[in-house]
Amino acid sequence: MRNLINALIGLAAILAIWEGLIIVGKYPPALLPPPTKVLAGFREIAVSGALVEHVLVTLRRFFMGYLSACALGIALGLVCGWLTRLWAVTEPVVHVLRPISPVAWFPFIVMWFGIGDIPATVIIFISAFFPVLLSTVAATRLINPLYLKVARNFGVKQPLLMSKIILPAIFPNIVTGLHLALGAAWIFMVAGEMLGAQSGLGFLIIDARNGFRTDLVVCAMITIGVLGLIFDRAIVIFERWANRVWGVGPAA
Amino acid sequence: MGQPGLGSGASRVSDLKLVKTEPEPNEASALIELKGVSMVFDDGRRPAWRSLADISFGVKRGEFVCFVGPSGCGKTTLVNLMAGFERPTQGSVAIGGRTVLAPSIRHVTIFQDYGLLPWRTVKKNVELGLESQKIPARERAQKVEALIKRVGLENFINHHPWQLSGGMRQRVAIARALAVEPEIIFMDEPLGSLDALTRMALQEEILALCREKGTTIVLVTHDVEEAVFLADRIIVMTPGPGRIKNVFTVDMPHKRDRGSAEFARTRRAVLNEMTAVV
Ligand SMILES: Nc1ncnc2c1ncn2[C@@H]1O[C@H](COP(=O)(O)OP(=O)(O)OP(=O)(O)O)[C@@H](O)[C@H]1O
Ligand SMILES: [Mg+2]
Repeated sequence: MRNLINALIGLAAILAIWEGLIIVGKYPPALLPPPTKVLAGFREIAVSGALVEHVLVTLRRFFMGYLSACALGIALGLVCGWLTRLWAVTEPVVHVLRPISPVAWFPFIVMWFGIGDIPATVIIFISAFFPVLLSTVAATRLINPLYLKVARNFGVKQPLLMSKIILPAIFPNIVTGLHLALGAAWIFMVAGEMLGAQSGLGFLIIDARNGFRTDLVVCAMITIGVLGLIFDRAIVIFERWANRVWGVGPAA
Repeated sequence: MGQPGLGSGASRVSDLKLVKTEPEPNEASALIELKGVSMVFDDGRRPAWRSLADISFGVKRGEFVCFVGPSGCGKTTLVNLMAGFERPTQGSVAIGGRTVLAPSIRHVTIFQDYGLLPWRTVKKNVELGLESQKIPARERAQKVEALIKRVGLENFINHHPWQLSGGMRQRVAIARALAVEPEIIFMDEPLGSLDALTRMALQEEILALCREKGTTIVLVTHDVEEAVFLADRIIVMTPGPGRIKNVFTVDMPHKRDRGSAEFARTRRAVLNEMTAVV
């Protein structure tokens, strides 16, 4: 409740500053659209159905890219973390690839896949993949050896060792990586859709700018921010749940 | 005080049916047999560390053997070797006449910190060892439930380990070990982190539960009283490097009375042996 009040105070403050800037600076609406205009813009694209359409497209791409990055990142991370030698070989490669912004892949992605759903999805995938991979590898290598001893004692062998012991043992640690990846993927989603898509929230920004509708640009930005916040909260809840079910208890 | 119990107290020793014997490694009837086992830890960086030196002894089938010794005398190392988690640098460890090369589900270890899997409920933890065996699901569930009842945790069957007290966790570990009906149970300071009352209660439970099927038990502890309460034979170890100093046969019937004079005298004799200068 107190959090909600604080959030509302912050929101009111930013709206006041925003409106105040416009009154004092007398900026033209195209340069800085006032809150009222943005609200009207929201109403407009909500009524026309465009907003929902763009959001749904974005969500579909986002979850396709993010979830496939999680699946592949965890699977490869388990294997690389378990096979020390394999990781010794792949680690340098990963560390060279990781600092390259996912957007840098763009020219190739468009040449290979054209324009549409795929480029944005691939960008989202790349930005989520490395945090998931690295946190899974690190967690696998740091697994409590006691669990492995127990598994050996009770005759749990590969591949069951992976699915029954290692993955659940390290899952609470992986979730941290999933959280990081979610944030990164959501941020790069906008870039992916700005560059290579004809729909979605990122495209809405480009499209609105081309039509000098800066109020709609702000609409898209706010929508992205709010959805990002919701996902972040959701994964925090998931983290707590994972700690309770998989881990050593409700972490502080 | 090099030979407590044998010097001035020799006559008393016979009174209390406390027999001091030399290690008998090559006994024909030994189930677990260690011959000249040494363990050196050498990671190439620090100077090599000799943890065990020339350990030889045998554990008979159905016997309850306790190793007592101060911290760092190699008790855990010894359990790891017998249970097959590690191989000795020198000498051999054999169970039932076969050299131990790897852990086996026939020889279950109960660890000091329980070794429960935190993501599994009590029921699923107890079930662990049965999953790799071809037992029908219903039979498995019945067996698991019966065992959980047996250790008094029927109201916690779907709880996670973090929701249980230390004593309850160790009961889960015991039930999990018993579920696979092992030939041998190794216990590495299983009650080390419990309070005195819980310890005593669990010592009695270990006797009641684990002896029922004649399971051979090797228990490691630094608590002399625990050893005197539980063991058929007590093996006293000394550190640096770990050696067997002496072996006591405890000949009191169960359930032993911790308050009896004989208990106290046995306890004192073992303690003297432990603290005596080599
Ligand atoms: N993996 C290892 N590498 C190097 N040294 C080791 C290793 N394991 C044990 N040691 C050393 O061997 C000696 C015996 O260790 P061990 O854990 O067996 O003793 P312990 O009797 O079980 O002690 P405690 O009662 O404290 O559990 C110790 O000095 C320890 O430092
Ligand atoms: Mg130890």
